[in-house]
Amino acid sequence: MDAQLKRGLLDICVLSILQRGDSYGYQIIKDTAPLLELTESTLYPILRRLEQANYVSEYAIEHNSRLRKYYHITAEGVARIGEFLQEWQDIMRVYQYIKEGYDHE
Amino acid sequence: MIMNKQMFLDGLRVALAELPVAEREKTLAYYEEMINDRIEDGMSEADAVASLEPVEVLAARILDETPMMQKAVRKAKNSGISTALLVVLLIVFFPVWFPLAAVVFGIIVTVLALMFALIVALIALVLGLGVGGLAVLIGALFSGSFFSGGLFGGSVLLAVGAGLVGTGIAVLLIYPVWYLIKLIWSGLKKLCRKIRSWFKKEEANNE
Repeated sequence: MDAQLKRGLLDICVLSILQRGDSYGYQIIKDTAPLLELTESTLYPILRRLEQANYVSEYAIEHNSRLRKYYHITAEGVARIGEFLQEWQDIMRVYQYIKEGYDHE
Repeated sequence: MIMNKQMFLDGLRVALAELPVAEREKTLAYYEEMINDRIEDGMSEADAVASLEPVEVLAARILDETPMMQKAVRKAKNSGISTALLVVLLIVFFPVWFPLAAVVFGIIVTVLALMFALIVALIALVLGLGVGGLAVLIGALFSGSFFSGGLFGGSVLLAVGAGLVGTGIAVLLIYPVWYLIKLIWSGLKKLCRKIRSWFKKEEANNE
């Protein structure tokens, strides 16, 4: 998959996981596994990016006498998902147009 | 080589030496949590560490995600040059870097100002022609002489003609001027984004 496209998809994918409920790093990786290949080193910059854009907030919970960082989607984050879905409506229209031309051959 | 968690984290700390402390500790905490969660999930410590990317690869990627300006500052801070020496160097080479920086800054400001001026001028042109033309037209019509066909009839007719021409040109210009303004505006935005990307990585990559 195109790197730029994948990057954008991963961001939204992580947001979507958090929309289903707050989660932490390792769990997010396990949850995305069936969809997209995500490693901890690819997840880290994504989370940082999302946090800087105010799409997620973070908080720590004590777990087995250590701190585990949880991520929570913000209202802006939810709005970003909505924007993404809208963008893809347009993309799908173009896809349909391209596909029709291709199938016609 | 079999690595345990502590070795991995120590290695990463060294490799990320050029990051500010807060940023580095945040990154380390993230990877430590990842390793702990894997161990809790049933992996051995060595396997958990081995399942992550090698420290060098990881560090290179993290540093690569860091904006250019921040990194330059950090590099200077971490290159062994003390802050005092850095300040002295900055002062000594002031005659060299200051004019250069001033020129670059001046060029940027000039370009931005020019673009703004162009937009304002274009709007003024259309408004001036339109409003001026209308004013002349209305003025001529209400002066009365136009209807009475009196002494000033000829010059009033001239004013009506000029008013119509002015208004007409203004109407004709609206579309091309609007297009030009949009063009300049998008250029302006691109320029601002470019300048911002020198300081911040995010924006430039998302576009």
